[in-house]
Amino acid sequence: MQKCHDCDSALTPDEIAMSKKLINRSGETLLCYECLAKKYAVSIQTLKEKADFYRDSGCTLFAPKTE
Amino acid sequence: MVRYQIVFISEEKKMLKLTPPMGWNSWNTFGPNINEQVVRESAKAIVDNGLDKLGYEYVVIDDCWSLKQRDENGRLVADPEKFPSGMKAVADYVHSLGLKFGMYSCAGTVTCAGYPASFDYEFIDARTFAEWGVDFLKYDYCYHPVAVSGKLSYRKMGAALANCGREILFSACSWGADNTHAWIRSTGASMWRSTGDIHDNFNSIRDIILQMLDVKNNYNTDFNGAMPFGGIGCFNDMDMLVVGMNGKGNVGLGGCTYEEYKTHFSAWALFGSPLMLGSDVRDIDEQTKSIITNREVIAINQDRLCAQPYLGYVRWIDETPCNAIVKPLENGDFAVLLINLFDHERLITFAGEQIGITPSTGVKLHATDLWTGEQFEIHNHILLENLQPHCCKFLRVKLVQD
Repeated sequence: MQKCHDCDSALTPDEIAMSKKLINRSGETLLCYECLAKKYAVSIQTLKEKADFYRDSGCTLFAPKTE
Repeated sequence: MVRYQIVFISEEKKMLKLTPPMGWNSWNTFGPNINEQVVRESAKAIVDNGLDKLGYEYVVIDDCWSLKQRDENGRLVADPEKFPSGMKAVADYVHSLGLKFGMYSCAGTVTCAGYPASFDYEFIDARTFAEWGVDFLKYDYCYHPVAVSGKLSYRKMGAALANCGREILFSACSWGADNTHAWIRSTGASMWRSTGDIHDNFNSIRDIILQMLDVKNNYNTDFNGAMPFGGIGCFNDMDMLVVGMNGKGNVGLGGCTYEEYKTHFSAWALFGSPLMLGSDVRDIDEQTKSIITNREVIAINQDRLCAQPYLGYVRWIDETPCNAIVKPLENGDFAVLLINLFDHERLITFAGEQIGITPSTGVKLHATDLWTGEQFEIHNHILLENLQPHCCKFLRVKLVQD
């Protein structure tokens, strides 16, 4: 189970994907939505909407949503 | 079986970039929503806005341009729904405007967006790009086979491009991973991405700037700073610009203020990064135009000395520099960037001793602010600037004998 670099919380697949997308695809630093939101001074909702946008755009970092 | 004859190009024909490339790339704004109309209109807009006269010459189509399958001969095929005229026609149009045409592939088995990539197809794809009239290839790093080293993949595409029959600028995009800085010059690449992807957010811009400096960071720990690893023939690429995106588009993430975009453009100029516009150039507002058309700032970026920038004497607070970043220029002047990367007001210093000039030398320092045009003498060789958060003061400093 991968954990947030800053707060040690367990990470979801989307949080891992968003960290790679925003920080560095090859980097090892992964952050949860809360820490990403703090880092980039945006809301968690914005990040989740961005994740859906990237998923719908075909970004292969994000797994397809399951019903 | 397809056979290829390798033709070695003479030294006179090899392309050597003497200054950082400039142009526009589709990814930051359009992402996967790229098509022929957007490319044609963007190319026209570059000319109509006079950007070509300032040096913005490459019009680059990023990922998502092809069909998801190669043809029966193993060749990449432009998506006919997105590019109904075919890629050669698009290239011809861009060329007719006096611009250069760029495309995208990837060192992996698929591109970052899941389209066919060039691993094990390097020579076929290079020949295809050459036939289409491509002048620039951005080469990404997603899904590269872990059993094959990155340097081998990039050397292979470098060899393919060098022998494809056309001069194609090789733009490596391996995000600084796998010690790119140590081997990229062996690949023939003219520019190399040294960081993760940029987003339209000052914190993303700040992260990239910090990765240039001699600071150990959490996101790319292979080396301490990318700044020393750029220069003539292989420029350190800090990623495409987000100036003017205002939070919109594919990499939009909150956007930046006018001052933050100025700081972004100033830093990219000082560090000698390629200047690849990423906003929708068909709709440029006046503030954005005032930034990307600043001739004096562009001149710093295009200075032919391509010297390595350096920090003045090192003074850090929380791993953030509090002093100016300096770059020697061809005519003996210095570019001096005072930059506040903190989230609060901060005193940033520049002292003549940072460029080897002390009062005893009898040399005066005359500065020109590259954003305001203000000219002034730096008294006692010390400049202290209280800068607002994320702001900068960008100077060209001339040495004048007393």
